[in-house]
Amino acid sequence: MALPGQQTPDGVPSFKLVLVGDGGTGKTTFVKRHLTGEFEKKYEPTIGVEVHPLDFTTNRGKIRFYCWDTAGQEKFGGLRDGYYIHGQCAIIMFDVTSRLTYKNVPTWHRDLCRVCENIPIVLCGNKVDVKNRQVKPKQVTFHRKKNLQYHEISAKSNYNYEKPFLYLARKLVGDPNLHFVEQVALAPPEVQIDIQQQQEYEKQLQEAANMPLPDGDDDDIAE
Amino acid sequence: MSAEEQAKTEVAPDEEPKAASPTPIFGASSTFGGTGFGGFAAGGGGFAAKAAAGEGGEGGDAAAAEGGEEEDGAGEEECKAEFKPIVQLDEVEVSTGEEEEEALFDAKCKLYRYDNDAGEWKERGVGQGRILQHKENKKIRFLMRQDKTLKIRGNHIIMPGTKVQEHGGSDKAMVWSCVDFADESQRMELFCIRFASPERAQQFQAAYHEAGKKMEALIGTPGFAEESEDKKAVDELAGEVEAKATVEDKAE
Repeated sequence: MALPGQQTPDGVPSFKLVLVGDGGTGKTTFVKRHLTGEFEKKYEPTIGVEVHPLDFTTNRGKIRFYCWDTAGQEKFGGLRDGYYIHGQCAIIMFDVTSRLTYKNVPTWHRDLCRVCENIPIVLCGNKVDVKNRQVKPKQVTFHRKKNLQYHEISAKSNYNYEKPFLYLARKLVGDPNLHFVEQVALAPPEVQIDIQQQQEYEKQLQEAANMPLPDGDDDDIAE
Repeated sequence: MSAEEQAKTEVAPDEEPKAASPTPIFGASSTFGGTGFGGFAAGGGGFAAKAAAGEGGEGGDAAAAEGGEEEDGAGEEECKAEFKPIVQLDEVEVSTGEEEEEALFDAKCKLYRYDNDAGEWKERGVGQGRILQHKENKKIRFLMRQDKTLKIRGNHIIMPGTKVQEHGGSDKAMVWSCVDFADESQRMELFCIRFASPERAQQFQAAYHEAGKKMEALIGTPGFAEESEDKKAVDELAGEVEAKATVEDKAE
């Protein structure tokens, strides 16, 4: 992995992003959503830290966030300060359906700023798709005191899910108008597979075709 | 008390909120994992009830959930903090890779991939699902990009003979198997694509099958390609066996 601020071996500028917040606020789900597109419903606490490269294509070329997805639960915390070293940007996440996770935001912010001075930080209120939220937009004021960007997001419905990365990219590159553009779609190869293999896939497909799709409404694909 | 003052008293930066036992966090999270979000909110208990009482009957939860900043605009103004940029990057010419192609099909969709290990469908992305034909070499591919980030979630040549069939539980969804190239390496995938209506799903199925026929005219029948690596390997092996057999014959 390239060191912070260095380019990756293929010449892509990279940034270390530290992702913190209480356990269960949706940090890992949010990262996975960007990584593979999936929405993970099962909760498995992150142990220590997991680092994921997240690539975005912008009008100023490709960039990569090495996203340090840290354990929110105290007992699985591990190195803490060690994870924050050389962080170049950060996301602090809380859950709008749990006031306690918002109450803990100042602690996460303080810990982060002890190690990473003056880096761009986005405060994210996640799970805004839930009807019965406990932290209302008006009650979210911490970002004003500390000069953080704030976004209400939903990893489940994809609401504003690109905004935190867009804000950080704009600050790190110094272009307030930076925007995401199409990732280049390379011509895929023609892949010949033999008939036996094809039959195996067809068999798997018959099974898969009868497995239910994940829950979800059709709002996001309405035409 | 104004909302801001209230928040100040509740979230004083000097507080040590983490002194609270981690147990409630864990408990709440388990609920979140087991039953989804509804159960989580309901599980707030006394904490939630106190919070609601303090707000003087503020409504519009659903509106807030759907529109975030629309409720009162308090949340999401652009932060004015200045930072020294870390890198300087020049503007680049944007290349979509699709400049020479035209769309034979284009509709809003949700794409899923089948996770064989977990035995379940997993969401792959929401965005435009398209069937594109190259204007010069006439090759046809399926291409799907994620909304907003415009990342590629599906990208493969439509191979002759690929069957697209209705999903067992939804007439708005179609499934097929392919070797996909979305992350720029070849990966066998079972895909499911879901549309707003059954009609749109049928149009997709027809367009995909039609594309398969056109590709067959272009590159031949599946499994019998002359240039196939497998065929080459088989031929080589056959050659070796033959050579060996000849040697053995001579030895006798």
